[in-house]
Amino acid sequence: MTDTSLALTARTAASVAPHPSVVAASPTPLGLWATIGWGTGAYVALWSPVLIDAVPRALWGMDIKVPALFDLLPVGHIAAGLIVVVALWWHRQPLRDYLALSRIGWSGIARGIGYGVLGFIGLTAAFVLIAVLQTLLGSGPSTAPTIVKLPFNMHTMMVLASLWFAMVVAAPVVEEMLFRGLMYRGLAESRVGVVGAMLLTSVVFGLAHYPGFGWSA
Amino acid sequence: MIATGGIGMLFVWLRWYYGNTSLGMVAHAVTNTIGASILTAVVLMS
Repeated sequence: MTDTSLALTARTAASVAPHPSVVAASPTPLGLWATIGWGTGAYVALWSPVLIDAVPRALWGMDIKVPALFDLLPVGHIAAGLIVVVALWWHRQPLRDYLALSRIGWSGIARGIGYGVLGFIGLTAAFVLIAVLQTLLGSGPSTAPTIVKLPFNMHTMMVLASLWFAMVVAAPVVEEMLFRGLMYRGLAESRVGVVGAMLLTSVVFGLAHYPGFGWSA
Repeated sequence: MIATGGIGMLFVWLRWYYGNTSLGMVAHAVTNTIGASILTAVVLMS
């Protein structure tokens, strides 16, 4: 085969190459029901610190003394992350390939920073817009955050440190692994399809942050 | 919830368009870092 024909073959192959998201999706997907099952388990685990307190109180009127560890560590995120790992281990799937955790390099990091800033601007604009609409409709803004006054001492520093760890490390890693990794992958390659997976994971992501789980808390 | 669902849409679009989850992790971390910075400033200065 000549150089010219090799180049033409390579160009033809490149022109028909599937989208990178399809290439990255080489391992066999878990399937719709397994994705829903494991996704629901991880979602409930995300809420576990709230549920451990709220469920016994609602059902039996019991006040459970939650260990102080639950206040300082993002226990829900750790549990949800473990469930994602166990799900892929159980189905013998390669973790990095299945969750599309590929290296992105410095340009990818720079792009991620740009989209992150854009996301924050969009989020703020959406909060303001919703508050204005609610005010115009006469119901008053329901998304206004509650400002907690804390004294400047060691306990406050520990609370803020755990908040930073939860928001900046645990939430991005675990929520991306769960919503855009496990759930998106399983749903997009089922009869739900890519658009359905995008909509469903976004709705579930929104619900996971309501009311005040993470962001506005 | 609508606003957070909207940002979820951005992250899932990144997952689809760039074909990886790592980029969304960086974007998510940056968005939360700005939020955590503002929250910290508000809590300490209130």
